Amino acid sequence: MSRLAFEWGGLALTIQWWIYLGFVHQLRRYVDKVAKDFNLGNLPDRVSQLRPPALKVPCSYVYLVVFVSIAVGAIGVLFVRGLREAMAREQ
Amino acid sequence: MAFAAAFIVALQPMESQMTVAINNDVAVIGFAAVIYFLQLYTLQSESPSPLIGLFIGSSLSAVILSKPHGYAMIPGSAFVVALTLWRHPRSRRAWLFTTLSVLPFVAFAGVRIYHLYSTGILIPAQNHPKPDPGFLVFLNTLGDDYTAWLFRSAWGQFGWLDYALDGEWFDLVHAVWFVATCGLIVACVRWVVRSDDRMRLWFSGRLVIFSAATAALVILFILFAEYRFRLVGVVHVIQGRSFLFALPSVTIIACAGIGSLVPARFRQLSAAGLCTAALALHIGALICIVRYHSVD
Repeated sequence: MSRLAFEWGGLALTIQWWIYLGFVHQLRRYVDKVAKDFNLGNLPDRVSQLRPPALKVPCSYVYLVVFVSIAVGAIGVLFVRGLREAMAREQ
Repeated sequence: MAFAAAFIVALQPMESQMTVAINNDVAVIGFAAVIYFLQLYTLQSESPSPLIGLFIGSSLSAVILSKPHGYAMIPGSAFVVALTLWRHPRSRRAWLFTTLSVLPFVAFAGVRIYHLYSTGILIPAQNHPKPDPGFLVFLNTLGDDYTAWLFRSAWGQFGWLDYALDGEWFDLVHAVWFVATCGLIVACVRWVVRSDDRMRLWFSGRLVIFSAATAALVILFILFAEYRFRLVGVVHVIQGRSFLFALPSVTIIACAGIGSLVPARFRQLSAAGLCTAALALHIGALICIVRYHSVD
């Protein structure tokens, strides 16, 4: 039972994840709400004129995609390792 | 991660309002994160590394040359150097560590500080046109509106722009802090009664205390800067982003509190959730900024 998190620690983890998923839910709501106004195409003309080309659109989109990919990958690794650790036999 | 995050922030469109090529706030956040990481690494290591000392000194110079906010990182670095020497008074590596951490600081930041004093750019206290109410009085009289604005302006709106994330985001951030605070209280109580070892802090207690001191010092230093600005009649110079270089140490405190609530084998799952929340907040802030530019 304890391996399935039916304990105080499991309850704390559930509460934490409930809050964390609140962020994801909020992001989804936020995207839905602002979708009609969200337009990446407006950015190229508004970004600082003094910035070097390597830091401007469209290059910055590449960095953004790389960052989100790395972040999602890191979270995925943490999640898989965390599940393995939680379900492992206790020493 | 904080350094990487600062680097990514540098690429966000928020600097479009600053009309500069490089944003020095981002440099402060990034270098402060590096310094803080090296401080923790040195405190935890058995033997001081001269190369780490060189990195600490160079980063300290860089953060001060980036923006005066960086002065807040000096006491922590001085403490780490002094503690290293105290622990290893006869170690050649410790003295080399000290020399290499102090030399770049004196060579670059020291010259800069001397220049500021000698040219009178640093305002002497006796020249204040307003009566000095005292820093503690200033802290006590900070309005709720101002502190709420500081908090909200740390995310999404980059300080002085009049747009911000929705209030629901901040309710969630407050919820995370509530859980972290509960965790720290639980950890303190368990430490005092010395009960169950399974639920100890995620990190070393001493490192958490060092992190708390670093965060408190940074926040107080920035508030002191606001206090000094107000004395010379300038208000609201300090904005939310000015506090962001305290985030690495604040993050460690929050992780310690949150991790102390769950057994060790659940901590990676807890960390995965915390990172998920951080990424969602980051993307939300980015969308907020892009939307602002799209509708304007």
